[in-house]
Amino acid sequence: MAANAQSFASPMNSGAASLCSEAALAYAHAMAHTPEDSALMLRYGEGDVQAFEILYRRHNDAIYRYLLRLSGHRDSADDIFQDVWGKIIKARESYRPTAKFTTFLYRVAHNCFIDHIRRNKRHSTNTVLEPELHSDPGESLETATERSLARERLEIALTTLPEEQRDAFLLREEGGLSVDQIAAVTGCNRETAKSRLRYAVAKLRSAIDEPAERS
Amino acid sequence: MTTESNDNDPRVSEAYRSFSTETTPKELDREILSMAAGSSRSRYGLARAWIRPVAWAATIGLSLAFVLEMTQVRDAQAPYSNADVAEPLEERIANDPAPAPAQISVPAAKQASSPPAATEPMPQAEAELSMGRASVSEDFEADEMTMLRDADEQARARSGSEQASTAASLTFDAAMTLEKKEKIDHCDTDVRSSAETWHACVVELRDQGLSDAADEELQSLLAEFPGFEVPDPSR
Repeated sequence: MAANAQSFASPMNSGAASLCSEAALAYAHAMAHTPEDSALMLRYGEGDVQAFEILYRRHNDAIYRYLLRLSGHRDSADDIFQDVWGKIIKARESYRPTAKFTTFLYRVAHNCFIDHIRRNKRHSTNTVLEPELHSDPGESLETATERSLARERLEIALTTLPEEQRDAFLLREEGGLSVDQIAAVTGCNRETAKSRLRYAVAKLRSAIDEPAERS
Repeated sequence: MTTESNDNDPRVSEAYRSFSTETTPKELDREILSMAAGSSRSRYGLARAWIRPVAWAATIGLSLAFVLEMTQVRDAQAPYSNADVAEPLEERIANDPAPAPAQISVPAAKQASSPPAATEPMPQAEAELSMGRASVSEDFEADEMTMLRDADEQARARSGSEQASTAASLTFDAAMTLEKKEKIDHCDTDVRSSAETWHACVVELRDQGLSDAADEELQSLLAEFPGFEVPDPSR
């Protein structure tokens, strides 16, 4: 965008500017025609299956990770994930875009998770998922090791967080929800949601900084 | 440290995103997408394709019926429009080409009060004529008053405004005044000058079938001429 702005500002590069402006226009056109989640859901309610597919592809991975981190079990996450999308599919006719679709989706996911906990008493939050290690090619071994350890500490800290704080943190990170939306999803007031999020971030930050504090 | 930095730390977010890279298993994707497609097909299947046309047809039919019903109701209410009610009764009577109730001949009155009877055979009409000329005339007057009262009530009901209500009450008052005037004018002032001519007028009224008017005139006569002896009608 900054490059586009520069090209518009410079009269010297008229050819490049026109190319950039065409690209910018094409991008703006594409963005203007990117349907919103609510519109897609309404279209699916009218029978457009492709609209649902677009909607699903937008949110499936984030919802899956949210449920995976929240439950700590892949099997549980799979079950809840199916349950969530089953409910979304069922709600296609009664859906009214009164709130942002993401809020609606994560609220369904949150409620499905709560129901799952009630149904399965075996639920435990202490399971640590196997971390998928990714390292940059140019990274030194020491840096890569430190980064890997930091990730591991963060993941362990995440699993040890109280459930409400972890929920608030995951809603922020995976769903991109604001404090108000987190409050709406979890059914608490704004200050409570804000407090939970603040405590979660503080604990995770201290987990990352742990070796530095020691040194 | 601001509130935003308390709620959100970029380093924590970055560290979280570096390890949180799981994606939905492909089997789950396939299962959910097929579930969505199947659910949509069952909702909009061919078996239920007739629902929309039927719904449209029903809506159009009901709308037409409603419009027809409203048109008929408006036609029925037309004689009692606000303009008619607001018009003073005296003007209405003056503009009305129909004769006054007392001057209407009995067949005309009969026709006005009950239109279907016009198609009845003549002997029956004559029988009714001979049996109850007086009652027909009284019925006509009663019908006229009932109609005016109905107009009054409908004007009050239809128009919530004070003006319409006032107009309606004036209409009713005018009707009452007219009724009183009719009662007084059964016999002329000249006729009332002597008891004999007045009584002759009473007899004439009774012969015309206006027995109520005759009784009223007789009472007025006796009040005016207390010494007057009413002749026996049998003699």
